Amino acid sequence: MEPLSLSLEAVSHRHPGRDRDTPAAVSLSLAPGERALLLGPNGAGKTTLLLRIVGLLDGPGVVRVGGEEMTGERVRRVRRVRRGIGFLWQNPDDALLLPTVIEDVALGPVNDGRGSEEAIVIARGWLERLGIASLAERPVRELSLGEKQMVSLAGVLAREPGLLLLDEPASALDEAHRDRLAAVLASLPATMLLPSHDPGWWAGRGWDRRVHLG
Amino acid sequence: MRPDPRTAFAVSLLAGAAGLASARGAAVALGALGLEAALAGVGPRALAARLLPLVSGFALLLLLVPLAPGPVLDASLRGLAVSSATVVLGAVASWSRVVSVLQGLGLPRTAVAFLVILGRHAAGVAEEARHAHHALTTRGGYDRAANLGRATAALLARVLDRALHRADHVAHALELRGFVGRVPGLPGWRPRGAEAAHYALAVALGAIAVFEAGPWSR
Repeated sequence: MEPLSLSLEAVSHRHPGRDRDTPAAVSLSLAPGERALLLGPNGAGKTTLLLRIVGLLDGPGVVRVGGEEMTGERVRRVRRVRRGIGFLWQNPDDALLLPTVIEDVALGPVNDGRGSEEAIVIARGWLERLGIASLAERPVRELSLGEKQMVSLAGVLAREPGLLLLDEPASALDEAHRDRLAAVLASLPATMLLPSHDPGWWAGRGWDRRVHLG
Repeated sequence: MRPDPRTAFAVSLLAGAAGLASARGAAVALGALGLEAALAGVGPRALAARLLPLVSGFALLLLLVPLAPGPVLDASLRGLAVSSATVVLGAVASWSRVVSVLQGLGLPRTAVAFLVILGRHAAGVAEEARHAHHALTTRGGYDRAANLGRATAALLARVLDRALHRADHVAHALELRGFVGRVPGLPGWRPRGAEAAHYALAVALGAIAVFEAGPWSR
């Protein structure tokens, strides 16, 4: 899919029972193919901002993906735009659905209308690209947290999204898998926003733009 | 060797049919299901762990077998056979493969989505219970008999709380992954010599179901 632009205008969110917005009035603009790190202390609202972008949370401000406004009122349009967004959850267990790795990674393509055999080929391709082809037939529940994170990412990438929102994708990875992840992300045309507590590691790997929260 | 999920499905379906046909059919089906599990390499312990909660439900009736009137015994045996067919299918083939078989048989997307989410949540609740049990064990929750009630209450409360919390995340994740009620299908079916014993079981169960349901068996 073609990379999608992302624009945020004064996007805020207030969680129930809190006395301040997290995040508060965030504005940013990413051109198609641009990538940025989202920085901020714990509780600054990084994950909340990603949920606002995909329209799972409502609040003040305007979010546009590929030029289209993501508001909760136009459900059909929001769902269509979401088709182009790849969202990686911080806890991979939340996103993994099927019992074996290959089935789970093929889930997205199958639901996008691809045939099962084609979806399996796509899934294997992404597992190989991420260096985890050996996990293909393994039960998901037996994987380590880092392996689950990589499998979850393969499931996201298998749909070839135009905008990637990756919530701490390297938090549980060893150095070798981090390097592989950075190399794969660098080769993708998609626009990307990546919350991280480790900007030093990402700097110099094509992630020089930074957005600070809080 | 684990059979093709379609073969396992056929064996369980026919075992259920034999079980429904008569008490004698149910008794044969229970034996056949045990054999099916053994052929698939499901150990007696693993099978017992799955069957135990089920059997316990019928245990009272089974204990009363010598005193039970004919219809109660019949109903118990039939119910046990049908339930066991489902449990053995779950032990022999993974839940998602069974859903793939049903999808191949034309199950609507909403039903496929329901079954997938149901399976995911059942696994999630079991996982949460295990984590909570480990946490309580390592933090001394079970060290004193007097703590047992409190520990059990804490475990149940945590499992419920986390399961509900996670249910929201899973629902969101499914939407973001574009899930619309389709799972990867199974490759084309081909008969395999290694499954011959499973085919024989299916044929035998089918024959018993037909024989027991027919007018000549009365």
